[in-house]
Amino acid sequence: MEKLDILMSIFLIIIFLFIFLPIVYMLTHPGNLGVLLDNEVIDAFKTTLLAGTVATLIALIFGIPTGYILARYDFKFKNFVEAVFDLPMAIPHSVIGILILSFIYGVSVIKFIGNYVVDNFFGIVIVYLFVGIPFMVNSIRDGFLSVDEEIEYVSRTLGASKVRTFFEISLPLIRNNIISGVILSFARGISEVGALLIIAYYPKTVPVLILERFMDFGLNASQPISVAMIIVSIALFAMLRAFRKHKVKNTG
Amino acid sequence: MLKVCNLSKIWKDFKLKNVSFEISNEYCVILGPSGAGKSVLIKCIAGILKVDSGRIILNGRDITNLPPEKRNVGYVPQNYALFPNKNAYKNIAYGLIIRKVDKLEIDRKVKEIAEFLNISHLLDRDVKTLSGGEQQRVALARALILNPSILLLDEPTSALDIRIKESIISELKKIKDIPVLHITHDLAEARTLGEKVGIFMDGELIAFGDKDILKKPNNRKVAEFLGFNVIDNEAISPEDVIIKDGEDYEVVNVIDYGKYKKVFIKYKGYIIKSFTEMDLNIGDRVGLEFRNKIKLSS
Repeated sequence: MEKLDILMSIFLIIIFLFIFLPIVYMLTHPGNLGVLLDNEVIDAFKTTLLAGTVATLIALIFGIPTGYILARYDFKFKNFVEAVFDLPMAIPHSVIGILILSFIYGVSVIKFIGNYVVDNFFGIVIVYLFVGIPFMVNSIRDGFLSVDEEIEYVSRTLGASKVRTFFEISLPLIRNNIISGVILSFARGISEVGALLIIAYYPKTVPVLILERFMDFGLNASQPISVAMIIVSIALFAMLRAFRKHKVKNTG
Repeated sequence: MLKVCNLSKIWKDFKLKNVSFEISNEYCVILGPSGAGKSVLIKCIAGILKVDSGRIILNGRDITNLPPEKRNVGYVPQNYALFPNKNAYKNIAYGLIIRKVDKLEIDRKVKEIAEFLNISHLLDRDVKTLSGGEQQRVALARALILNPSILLLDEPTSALDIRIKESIISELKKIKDIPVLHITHDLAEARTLGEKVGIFMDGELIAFGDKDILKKPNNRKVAEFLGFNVIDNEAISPEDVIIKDGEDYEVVNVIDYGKYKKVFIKYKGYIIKSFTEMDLNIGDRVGLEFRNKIKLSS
């Protein structure tokens, strides 16, 4: 290794430890894990994972056709549409809460929805969907972009209708993109706090509960739940990386 | 039998202008430089692109507005487009599976076509592990197994190295009894395979007929594309440039093909191509004689 490369490696090591050490410390000092058996904690986990699942399913149902159209067609304002789909990633989380709430209470026709959203399970789903959809759409669009259109054409000439080609040829080919879209949008959803504080503090999700315990009882009280949350996140990303690796092997 | 009447289409940067031709059960090669829009023609016939105007008649049936799945055409794109998640066998069988053909019958047909194209040993292979030539054969088998009314080949050898190319060409020569429309930029392919030949430039089919049209360019652009020497308003085939002893002209470049050489000779401000078995080198001086000149229209 040359000197410059050694120097650059040192930068890598420092920034790696910056992220890695706190995680390791946390995992090795979880505090009183008995807290995890609290009903409130268990309910929070149920709420979080269920809302995450529902939001991800909705994102998937909308993400597949959206991603397909974005990948296959050029249309006026396509750039604009794509930019709008990316926006939730750039807007501050609390602003997302204010945004959704203002819209619901501001437009009189849909005001009634407020009852089902504010401090309600569906409010959590809406927030999760809002923040998670960019990951789903982008991942699926990239998947369809990577499927050679000639493959779809050939399938058509072999006698498969457009619908059949879509379900039998194109969709199976982007399986890994669908999986990573699901994991990313799920992971993004369940980590959300800011918008939930504004729209749906209740029923409490795990990150909201962690924040609440921290505010009320301090660091020690929030640590064990945080550790559990870290483990969920690590598990999700381990799955993601496993699928990505699989994909590289497939296409290489 | 395929009949294309006044076909026009604009797609991306390519266009077809009023293309008409007709082929029966013969091997037709349409020759044209890259980027001339040849692929657009094939994609229109396959139904992948909708035509702007004109008609396409296949075996007496107007297929102009039919979707690809109702046309019964065999299509082999330039990159073969095998289904990467199916093995070779399943790629070939796919069209029959769609037609709900009986499993035993599928098995019999797949094996038969595999034998015809010398790929029996590849049927279990993951198509991503096949070489270019092998992929090409699988793609051909996948199209031919359905007994298409026409086989459309888009630059079938352009991605192959020369040795594989030759073996694919001999494979293609075996295809009989159905019309084949093969597009290429390779003159040798047109000469070797074409029973009918078309020349396609800038979206227009400027010549169509038997192989003789390759010897009779009618304008400067075609002559240059076909490798003729163009001097003033005349085209001279490199074979008709005879090199003699003399001091008048200088050899400026030589490409050695082993048995013969292609030499480039400076002649009255032009660079003339010729083939010779003489041992010539750059800087040598020679005399020239032209055996046959073709008058060009423009």
